[in-house]
Amino acid sequence: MDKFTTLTVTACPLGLSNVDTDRILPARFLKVKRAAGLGPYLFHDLRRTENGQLDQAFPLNQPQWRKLSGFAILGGIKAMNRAIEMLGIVHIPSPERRVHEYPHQLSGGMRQRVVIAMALACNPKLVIADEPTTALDVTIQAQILELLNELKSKFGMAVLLITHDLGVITETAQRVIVMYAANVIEEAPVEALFAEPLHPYTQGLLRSIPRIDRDAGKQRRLTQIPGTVPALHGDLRACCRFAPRCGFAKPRHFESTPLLKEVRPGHKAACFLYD
Amino acid sequence: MTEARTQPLLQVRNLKKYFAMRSAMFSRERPTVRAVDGVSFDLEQGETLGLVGESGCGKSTTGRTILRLEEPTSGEVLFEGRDIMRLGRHHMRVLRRQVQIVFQDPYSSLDPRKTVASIVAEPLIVHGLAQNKSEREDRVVELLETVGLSRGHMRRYPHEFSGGQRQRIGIARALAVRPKLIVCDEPVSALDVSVQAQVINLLQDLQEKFGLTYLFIAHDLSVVEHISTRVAVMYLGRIMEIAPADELYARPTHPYSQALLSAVPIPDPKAKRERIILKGDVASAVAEPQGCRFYHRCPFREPSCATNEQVLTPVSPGHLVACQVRTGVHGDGTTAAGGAGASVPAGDR
Repeated sequence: MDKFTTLTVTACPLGLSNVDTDRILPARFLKVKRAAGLGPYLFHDLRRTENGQLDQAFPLNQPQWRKLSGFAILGGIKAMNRAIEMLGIVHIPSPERRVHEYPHQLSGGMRQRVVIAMALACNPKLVIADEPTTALDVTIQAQILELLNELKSKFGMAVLLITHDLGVITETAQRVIVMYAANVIEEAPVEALFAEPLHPYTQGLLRSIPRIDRDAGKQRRLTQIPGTVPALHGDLRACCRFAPRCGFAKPRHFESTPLLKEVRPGHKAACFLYD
Repeated sequence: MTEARTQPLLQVRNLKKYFAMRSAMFSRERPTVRAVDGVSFDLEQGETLGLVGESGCGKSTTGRTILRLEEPTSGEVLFEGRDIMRLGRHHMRVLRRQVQIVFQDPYSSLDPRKTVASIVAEPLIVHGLAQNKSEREDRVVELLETVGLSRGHMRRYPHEFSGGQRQRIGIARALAVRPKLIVCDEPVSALDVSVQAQVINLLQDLQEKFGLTYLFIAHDLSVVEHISTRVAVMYLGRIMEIAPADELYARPTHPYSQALLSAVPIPDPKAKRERIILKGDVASAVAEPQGCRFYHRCPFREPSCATNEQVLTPVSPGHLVACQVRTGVHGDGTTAAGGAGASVPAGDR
């Protein structure tokens, strides 16, 4: 829950009522979240968070569904039927049998499907997926991404996908926001970002990953970004936070913080190079 | 170099590692997990063999068994022609000077109570490789500088370092005994993308400088392609396909390799390709003593795949595939198309 309390949704173009989630007490949060059409959060490391998401002590049937799907009003049999229906939607084979199983009886991919089913059970307008496939193998990741894309068009919901994998972005997203050291440094449609990354960090990031779609011989050495991500505690001076690792940094870049501004139509970057 | 031609640095023959599971209540049987089930490959001096596969396919167990961190159930591991499994304690210690490992998690593989200097110096002490304290210290500094750290880092503790720097310390520790072979068990998968490139470049530089041989275990197919000379694809304890890296990525032949490669998301929105999405999850390694391990998820399976043992069969020089549908070679030695050539058994039983 503490992750939620730091998230501020203001003037949301999705048509969600202006909810400042910062001001909501965790106890009331679930209610407000449902009223606002916010789906539950999809956590990335299932092994670590499943206690919060999937209750180990109960089978997948009603206690979980009533608690987490937001359908507290549904009676036992109704909740169960709804649970079976939702498991079917996320393509879990034989849902009427699976609904009685415990989380530890499911594989990682299945568990992620169950969590997605829970997220969808209250018909959310927005689903926040935090690294939904990072803990999964590539073949399972492909299944989950396909499922997310399918459900997104089926239910017309918005997805905020948080990931470090640039490949996952091209498979799912239409728009990308690149963050570095707690700041948004670039925002663009997917095609524009990959065709012409503007911020030196984005450029470096795209060049530093090995690619299986390029000939191996051509890139014997990877381009690396020197240094590491700065620590975000203590006294932070106003400066471009990427400047210490940036090849284009000039002394004045260490003196003030660059603002996010539109460099090309629809393509924003926070970098002094585009002043 | 000439002797390297005649004899591979490492030969693994029909390696098996079974783990006994806890028996179910009231059951007398103890089910066995066939983590590694008949793995064979050669590793030439100076090359990098990538070992890829999904979690639970036995790639890490293979790496650990080669170092005898796990005792194998059966099979042979020959290092420079000598069977590692028959070595006594003394000879094993001598051998560990030549075979080292870099672990996946740079956070748990370094002792938090030791300074960097004593972590890197430990192998030197254990193997008696430094005469005195000053010599040891010089060597530690030299090692730290080799991996891109400096003398100033010596007195610090692991928690003061970032993930990438910690992995450098782990690499320095492995290099301390001047090994010939390093088993890299997912060395970059716990690191940030931007730092990953630094460690990969470092590993490549070190290989060039010291003529190292790597067994590179990873689940990230892009990283493996970048660093490897040859790649072996594992599934449920078996090698499904082994080929030179360019060959495997250009012409994957086993249905599993094809599905695996097509599942890798490519960071280019313009890249359009055929995606093979496998149904179901990786099967359990507990059952299935016979037939193709990939049978249940294979889109091209034939009824006889369920019972026939699949053998690694060459489809072109250096490119071996364990699939009767693709090679036409059945496990019992009969061929559909004829001309089986020299087939290497993937596992005998």
